Amino acid sequence: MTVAAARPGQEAAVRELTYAQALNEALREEMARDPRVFVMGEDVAIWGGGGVFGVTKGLVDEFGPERVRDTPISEEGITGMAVGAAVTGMRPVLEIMYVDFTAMAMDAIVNQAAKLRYMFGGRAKVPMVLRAQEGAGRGNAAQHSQSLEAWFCHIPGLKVVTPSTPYDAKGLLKTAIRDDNPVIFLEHKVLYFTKGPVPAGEYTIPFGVADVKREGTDCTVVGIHTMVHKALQAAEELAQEGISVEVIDPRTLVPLDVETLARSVRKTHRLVVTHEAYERCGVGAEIAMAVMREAFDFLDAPVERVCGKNVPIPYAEPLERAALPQKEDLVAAVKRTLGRA
Amino acid sequence: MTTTAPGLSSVSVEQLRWMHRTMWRIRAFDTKALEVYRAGMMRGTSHPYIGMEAVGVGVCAALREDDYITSTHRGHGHCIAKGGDINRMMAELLGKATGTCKGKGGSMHIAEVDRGILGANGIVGGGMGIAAGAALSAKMRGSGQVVVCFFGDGALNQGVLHEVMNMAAIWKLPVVFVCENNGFAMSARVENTVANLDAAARANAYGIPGMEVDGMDVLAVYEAASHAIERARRGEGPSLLICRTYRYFGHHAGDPLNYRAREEVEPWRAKDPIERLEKLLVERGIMSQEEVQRVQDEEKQAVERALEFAQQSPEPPVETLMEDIYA
Amino acid sequence: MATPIKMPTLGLTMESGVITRWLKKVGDPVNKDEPLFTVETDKAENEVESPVSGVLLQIVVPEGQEVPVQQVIAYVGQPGEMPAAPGPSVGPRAPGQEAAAPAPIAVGPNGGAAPGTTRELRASPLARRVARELGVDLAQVKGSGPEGRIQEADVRAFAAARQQQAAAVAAAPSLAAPAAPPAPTPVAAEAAAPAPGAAGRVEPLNRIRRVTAERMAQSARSVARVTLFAETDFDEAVRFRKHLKDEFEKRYGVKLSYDAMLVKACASALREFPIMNAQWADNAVRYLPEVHVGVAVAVEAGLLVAVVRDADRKSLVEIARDIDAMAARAREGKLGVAEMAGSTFTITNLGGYGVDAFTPIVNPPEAAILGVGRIAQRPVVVDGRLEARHTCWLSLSFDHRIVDGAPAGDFLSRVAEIIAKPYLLVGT
Repeated sequence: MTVAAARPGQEAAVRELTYAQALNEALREEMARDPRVFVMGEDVAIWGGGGVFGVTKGLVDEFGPERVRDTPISEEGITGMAVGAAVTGMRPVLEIMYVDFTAMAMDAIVNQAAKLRYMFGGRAKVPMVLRAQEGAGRGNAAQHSQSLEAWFCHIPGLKVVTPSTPYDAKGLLKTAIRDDNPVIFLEHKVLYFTKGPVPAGEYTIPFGVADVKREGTDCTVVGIHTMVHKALQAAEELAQEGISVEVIDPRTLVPLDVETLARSVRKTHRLVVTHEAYERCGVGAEIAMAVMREAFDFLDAPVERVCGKNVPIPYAEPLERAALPQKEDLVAAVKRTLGRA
Repeated sequence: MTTTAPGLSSVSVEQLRWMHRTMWRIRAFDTKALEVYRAGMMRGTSHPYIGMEAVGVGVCAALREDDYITSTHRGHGHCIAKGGDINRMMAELLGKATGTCKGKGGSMHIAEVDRGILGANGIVGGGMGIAAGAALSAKMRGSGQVVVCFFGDGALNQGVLHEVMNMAAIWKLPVVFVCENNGFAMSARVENTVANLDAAARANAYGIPGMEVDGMDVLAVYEAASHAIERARRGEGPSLLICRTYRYFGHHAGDPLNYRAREEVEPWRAKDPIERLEKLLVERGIMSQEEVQRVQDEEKQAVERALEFAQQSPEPPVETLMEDIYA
Repeated sequence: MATPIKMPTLGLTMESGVITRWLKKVGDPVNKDEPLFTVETDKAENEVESPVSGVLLQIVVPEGQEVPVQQVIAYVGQPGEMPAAPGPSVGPRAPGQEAAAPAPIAVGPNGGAAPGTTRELRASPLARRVARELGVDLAQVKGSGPEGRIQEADVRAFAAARQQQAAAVAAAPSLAAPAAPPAPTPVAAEAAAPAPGAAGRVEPLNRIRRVTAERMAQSARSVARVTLFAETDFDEAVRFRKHLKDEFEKRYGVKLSYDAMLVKACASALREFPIMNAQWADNAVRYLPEVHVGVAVAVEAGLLVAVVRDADRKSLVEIARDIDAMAARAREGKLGVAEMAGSTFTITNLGGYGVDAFTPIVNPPEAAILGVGRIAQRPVVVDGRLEARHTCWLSLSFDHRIVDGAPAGDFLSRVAEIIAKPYLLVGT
């Protein structure tokens, strides 16, 4: 992790920030840098100082209510407006409070944002960011706990980002805001309060570059969001048994850095893909296929998937726990690829 | 507030000539488009604006060149009225590389963003969010630009209209919502699908002005639109216009039209907007009958040339398939 | 990335060299220009220095093996570095295991199933690839994965075990020439790319050649072989054949070959000396109830054995017919598996190639094999006088584990006796 350039007079210090704080910094920096960038969404300005998870905290005080705009509850309307603003020279960062609510806004995302540039023969661009948060584990039940990245990965014209650490979150959000395309930026509700090192000073993380979070030689585990962390825990546990696991976080699903994943599998010969989203037709299937094509002759076992079960997320704790992929499932999957029980 | 035949003093001769010529251009273009479709030269379909020219022209006559419009699936008229290039539009209908969208969009997605045409749209109500967003953008940039959001009576029922009218009202966005009520949403009659057609009442729900307009009278449309656009430009917020008009032809080329009697169109043809304007122009001595005829001929010829241009243009090469997905 | 160490070209005419000694062990550090191994060429023994400093990560070619120049024989690098893919992996799964040298990729010939292709084999893609590279027939590998799936480790273990056996053989005294006639160019199967850096033409083994090679090697290391030579009088046999061959051709449409005559002679003798019709059965001798005599047939692809079943119960005509038909089928590549299996004794004839006598390799698990040399007129002393008579050297190799020299000698004499009186071949 290198710091590009610190602001003059500032040391290249590294701070422990929460994921939410890191995102907040990214927004603050980009809004200061480019007056066309503005934030809008439900309860982004005032609630609790800014945003239900504090991501937009303090922004309205610094940039004013025009640029940090609370909206009525009108997901389709505000998403359509983000498209209209983007196509006419602004750079909106729209917040949809829960990814589950993007269902209301699907026309604006899928039929308008993703397609205007192409349908207009390249004569328009839609530089907008749609931020939403995913994930379960808090007892928010079925309509507030989903992970829906697969929906957006499926639509040509969108980019899809899923950071798992504060460092990644900040660098990727800055890149998303500077990207001239519609970016679906998916955060995770459980990760907002996790802490990690974030350098002071300017840095961005490019799209399409996966991050090897832990090196290993026996099995490659590719995961996003909370599953990155569960995979790292599983890797620690497996190391006690002499099994060396490589954990890779793709960070962006579209574009996907297939080469890094394939190179890893050519080394380890085994692949486990993992995400919290429902298993069926989740991005794990796409990753497995993409990597298999590049590393078929190096696979010593079938690809394993450790994902959310195909069930609406239940409310009761033991049920919710059982519906979601856990560290133990990863440990078992890695062992299965090695032909061990 | 309803307006009938307005005074002519607020319209210049130049504008009148422009309105006349542009309505002919639209009619010639969409008539040709129907022919082209019937001749099997066009894919997908075409949604003719014939009979409704006064609305698009009357509204766009009151717009600046840098103002924005969002259009509908029945968008040729709006695009032409906003200054769209008929050569490139015809090429787009024929799916050629020289089309407004390089052949990738087709009739329902014609757009010329640099001319402020933020696109025809294949989704009913798809342009509403975009229009409100463009208005927000204009307001934030302080550019003084205004956005006109065209939509049909069918779109009055889309939820997003309520959302954006509300937001436009609370934020005083410079957008004018222009509903072209041509009586039908495909086969569904507006009397059966819209609970309350009263423009003022609907607009009142958001605390904004609303008016019904005779959509067969280009000057009535122009007057009402001018007021609304100026209001928006002054920063006073949105308005709703519901323009009553009629589409002489079907919803799209090939429409069986079994849901209305042939005779129904007669009273509307009697109010034909082009004829009405021509009568007025000739009576007031602004143009002679010959001049009037000449304009018609010229526009028909221009459309012919546009078709030739389109026919001679190449198709987009397959290699361009994956281009322009991302910026 | 680790540095590959190659067999150096030490002279203008050098085509290959034998690694006589590795001066370092795997894991030893080595400095640049420090001697790493010694090479024997046709001219001399040379010390070869390491081109780089580092640790000897892997020995790909062991001592005693001859390799073409520029072939990779080892890797030197930093600890933990990987050799260039697809070299053998240095993985935690096989610590300290010397991976087998990558052989030229052997692919199956016309019709034969190549190793790695399968009807019902479960094998991971990696295992299949490694099997192709190492020339391992997956059908012979036991899978340790779920549901019996063959995994990479299984293939490498198999190859390593095979390598050890081959190394043991290479260290043994030089093998005699194989009993088969020199195989002509193997059928041009899809040749894989030659091993990196190797000079000279590398021909992958076709399936027949590979089976032959494995069986020869197996025989050489297990059978306690002794060969008896007997110059046998063939004058009568020659005359016998001359008289009868036209008749055989006209009346029965078969060629009367010396092979057919010898098959009958041997079959007869085998009945009289059952120990010669026996099999080695793991510290036991199995006496076989039937006599099936195999005849070595040279075809373009290599060496096949066509078996005349129940040779002791067939007439000379039937035997001749069998041999004729099978030889023709063999040449067309249509010899059935059943026709090649089950011999209890084998005959191999190099007489047509100008060979007088030789030391054939016993066809395990058989007890013996009869080699037939050139039939020619030679000076023979008969009753004190020098005569020119047709003779033929018969070379009988036998497995001394099963049978001793005396009974073998008796058997050979009996065969010689029958051939010297060929009229015994008919009507008996």
